[in-house]
Amino acid sequence: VTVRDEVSVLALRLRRYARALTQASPAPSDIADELVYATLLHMHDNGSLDRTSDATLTAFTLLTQLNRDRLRERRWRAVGATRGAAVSMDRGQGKPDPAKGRSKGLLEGLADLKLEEREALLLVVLEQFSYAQASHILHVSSTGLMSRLARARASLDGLLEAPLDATGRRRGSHLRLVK
Amino acid sequence: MRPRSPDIGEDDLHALVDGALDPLRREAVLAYIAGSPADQAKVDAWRWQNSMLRAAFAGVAQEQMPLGLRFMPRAKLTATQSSAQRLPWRPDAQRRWPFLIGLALGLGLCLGEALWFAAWPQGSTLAALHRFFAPEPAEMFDSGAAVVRVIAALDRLPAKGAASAKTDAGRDAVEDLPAPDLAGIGLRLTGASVTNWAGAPVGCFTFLGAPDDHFVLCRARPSRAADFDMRDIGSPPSTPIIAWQDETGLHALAGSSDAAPLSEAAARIRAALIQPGDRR
Repeated sequence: VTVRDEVSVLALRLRRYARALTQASPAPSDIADELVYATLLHMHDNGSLDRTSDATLTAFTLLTQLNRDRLRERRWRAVGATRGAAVSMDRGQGKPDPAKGRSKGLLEGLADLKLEEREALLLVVLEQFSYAQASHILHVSSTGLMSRLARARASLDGLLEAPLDATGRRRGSHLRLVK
Repeated sequence: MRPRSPDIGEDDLHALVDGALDPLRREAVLAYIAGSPADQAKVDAWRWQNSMLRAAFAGVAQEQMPLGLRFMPRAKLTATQSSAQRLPWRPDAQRRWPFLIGLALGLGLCLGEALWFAAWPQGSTLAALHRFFAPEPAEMFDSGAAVVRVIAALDRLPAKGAASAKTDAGRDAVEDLPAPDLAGIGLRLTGASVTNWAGAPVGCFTFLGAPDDHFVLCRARPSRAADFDMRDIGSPPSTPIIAWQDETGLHALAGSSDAAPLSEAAARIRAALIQPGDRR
């Protein structure tokens, strides 16, 4: 089975990742679809789709980089714009506000993560790549990946209503990482 | 709180949650957190985060690409995008002449590409891309609704409730509900989510067969009822839901097909699940 037989499956995974990465929401998104489209076309153009061994990693690496380029270009275009416009375009790139964290849901918390933290969390948790694969995709060391993952989880901690345990108490909702 | 063992660090807890530990290390970390309620709770919270994140995006895998992307040339994308949404490989709109020349070349290339698509044999990479970006406007299978329907139907079983979610080793029962590998019978895993049924976790997995046969298989630890053979626990006029219980767990299957094909699929899935290679 070649990767080109699995284009649909790969594209579905890419789209899920792209939506989570660009808008932290499963809702349809033109930008996410365009990232997937551009990724697959780039891969077709350079023949990556025919290399089954590394096509998936290549696709996620490319999509991650395209999204970074897109955001970088937005920041460049924001120069000279009003401060409010710049902030709205960079939504999701700033640090989370701890005071507001309690009332947020998972997706809002995800949107508030730094891009590098969101990338790490999504690759490991949502796309279930191994640490080595995620490090390869993000071009970071394993230590760097773990650091991003830990920060992401710490930021999300407490945003979810945890399930009840056997004693009727909520599990983990009171927890904070202590470093 | 017991002090953390010097050779077990925060990274080990993350790796445990993400399934990145080798068996020996995993046992060591599990033994450690069994005596450390704070770390156990931390691990539980992260597992819950993982489950919720995967569940939130589980439905995306069931959708199809919008028809608006069908054959849309890159030059046209450039022209229709607002400046805030432009992607970096597009020409700068302020350089008008190069942009217009590029647009003309792009249109010419697209015309050639369209002709190439028409002449290209089936099964090629581009044909696969074409099929993906230009799907049939068929009625979509709502896997989220199917999961809800299956979980609701489980309540109609004689003995409600699955076994305890916790094992003596303190492992989350979700780990005992791995995604079944049904590729051998032509079903491709397209999504997974973890939901709750009567206080116990249930893993629901979506599969795609050929052509366009969608299935939702929910697996739970065995309920308190004795094992039972296949039975339809759906309620008319909704689509049927085939349930059974054996040593591998409690299963319920819904799908986009009618009752007879669904029963056949359930039989094939059940046979595949009880193969020795799938047992834990």
